[in-house]
Amino acid sequence: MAYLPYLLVAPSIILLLGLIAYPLVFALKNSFYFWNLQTSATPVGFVGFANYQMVLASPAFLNSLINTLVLTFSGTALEFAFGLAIALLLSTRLRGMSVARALLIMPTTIAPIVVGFLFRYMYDPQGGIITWLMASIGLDLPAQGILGSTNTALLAILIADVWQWTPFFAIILYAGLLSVPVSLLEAARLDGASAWVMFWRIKFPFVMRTALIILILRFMQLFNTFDLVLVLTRGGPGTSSRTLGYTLYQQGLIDFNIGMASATTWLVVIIVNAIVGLYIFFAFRKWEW
Amino acid sequence: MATLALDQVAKSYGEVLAIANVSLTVDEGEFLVLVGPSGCGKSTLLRMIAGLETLSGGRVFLGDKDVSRVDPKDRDIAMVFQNYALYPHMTVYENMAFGLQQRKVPKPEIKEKVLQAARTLDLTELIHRKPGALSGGQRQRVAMGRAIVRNPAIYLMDEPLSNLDAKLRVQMRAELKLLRARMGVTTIYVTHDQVEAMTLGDRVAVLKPIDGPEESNLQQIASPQELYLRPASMFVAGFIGSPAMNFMYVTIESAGDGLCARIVDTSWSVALPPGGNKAVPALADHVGKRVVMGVRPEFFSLAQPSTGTTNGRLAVDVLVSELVGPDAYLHFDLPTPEVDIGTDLIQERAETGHTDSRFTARLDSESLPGDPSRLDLDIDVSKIHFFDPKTTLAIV
Repeated sequence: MAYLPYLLVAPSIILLLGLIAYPLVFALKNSFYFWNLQTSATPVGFVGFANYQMVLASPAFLNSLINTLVLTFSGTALEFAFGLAIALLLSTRLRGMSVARALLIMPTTIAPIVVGFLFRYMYDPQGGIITWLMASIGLDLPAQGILGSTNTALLAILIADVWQWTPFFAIILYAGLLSVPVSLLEAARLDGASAWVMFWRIKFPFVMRTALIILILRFMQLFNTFDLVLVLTRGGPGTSSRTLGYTLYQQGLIDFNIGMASATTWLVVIIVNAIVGLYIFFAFRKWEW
Repeated sequence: MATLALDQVAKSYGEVLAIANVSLTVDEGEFLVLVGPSGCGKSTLLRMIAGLETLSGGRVFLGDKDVSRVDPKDRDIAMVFQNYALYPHMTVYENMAFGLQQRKVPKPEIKEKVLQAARTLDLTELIHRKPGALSGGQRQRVAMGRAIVRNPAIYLMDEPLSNLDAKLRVQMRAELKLLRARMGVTTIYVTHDQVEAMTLGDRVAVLKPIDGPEESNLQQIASPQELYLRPASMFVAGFIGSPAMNFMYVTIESAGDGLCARIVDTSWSVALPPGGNKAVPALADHVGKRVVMGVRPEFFSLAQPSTGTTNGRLAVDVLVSELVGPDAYLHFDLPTPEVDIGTDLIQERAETGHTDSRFTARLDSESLPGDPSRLDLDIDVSKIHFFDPKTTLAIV
């Protein structure tokens, strides 16, 4: 019965291979073929690395890669920072914190596409509340509107994403703060730790145990941001707010160029895995305790 | 090093009064043990001394200084927690150095002190490990080390051995005693284990849960031997000593030039000649009244047929005999009403229709006859205690 354990895990492995490996292999194969759905229902011919060359040579790809990296790194960092601040506030015994906890989870439960529409109305150059607020505190707004300017379009997407996902960080990090044993805080008090030392050397390491995982999850999600971009800017003006996710949509579902879209998919897989691999290598080295 | 004094300290949580009217002083270099059953407020009292709990009343003095409102970090105390409270993400070295770093001690000095403490506690090999990679006993030593490096005026220890297994606990208890002999620092030690209390403490304070603001948690504070020989109240008498003291109601009667104590509802009596028991003079005021008699299990002995005196001899039917190495614990019932010393056990027995009381005798297991089901027991009259049933205080 030596193979019984393998037999028992086999269903999960097969399911996993079917759901993850098959699409990846399918995309890998297609990335070496010329295949445009507008002209053919099946791959037309083997083209080697031509699809990759075309993707890498197109300015749109480089542009959307930069946009994606900017959005992903700054979004994750901002959501973590704001989330941590809110979590610290939640852990105080200020009045109304239990109500705040209940309200906080709401943005996270809204579908991103709905968030996109909400923000589109708020960014509207005529009567959008954000436009109005910005104008009333005397900020110089672009004439084409916040979403219409190459300077502010990506920022507008970032703000909507931060609005939606900061509470998620806040709730999870709050749970992390709660996991700090009271006796540790008391020991630190007796050891003479100031409020800052207490946070930085005692609470923060505990919070980071939880945070390490959601940081990488959120990073991967943000890297593939598509819905907010579609609803808010469609990657525009020009390619100024185009992300890799939107580029993929453009290549595959508008231009129907399956070969190029597959090549882009694989480039994304490689980039994300490289970043995640590095992250895991460094972040989880001090994990054991 | 310093003295510590508590002056009428009290603590309440909303309506619930946990601590009231506790006053005591701890001398320089003294090892005071706070002992009592769970809920007696011993940990709360320790945390109040540490400053982790605010006082609802009274004052705490460290030396001459009133520290009642002083922040824990400025009280010059170090505490060892029950669960050790080691920082799990820091190494043994960092755990011990943390307190010194906060006090801005220069780095070389920190290193010297930590390594010194590590040597004392046999932790040198483990200095770069994290608490997760240590055994229970090692963690306990790190927690001690963290307190030692600070060189505080007073050590507070909250059941530091209770998370260790029995064998390790005995070993650590001995180590603690050695350490304490070497360092000689004022220490307040909380435990619910009376063996720990009796073996470690210079003095032991026995605490009990309170029912009202006029009571005090502090029942008696004295040397271990004093607590055992001269308990001030039924609570202390029942708490200190294992197995616990036997209590029974007796009526005091005059008998010749002495007294006699008759066990209520039975025909047994114990003669108390003048000088036969230290309580006799005081008991003279209780003639004709009912008092509580306390006999420790170890002061029963197997009746020797050869000796002429049969004073206080009891013929008992042994219900259960437990052999514990050199000792035998014999349990027997007598048809006399049970003395309520506030344990749930008695209530349970009353509810199940028991009208007699259960007693325990501790005898030398080798002297027991082959069939120990019916025995004659003698009582060492000089070692009997008497208590006022109303106040529960000792009659002396």
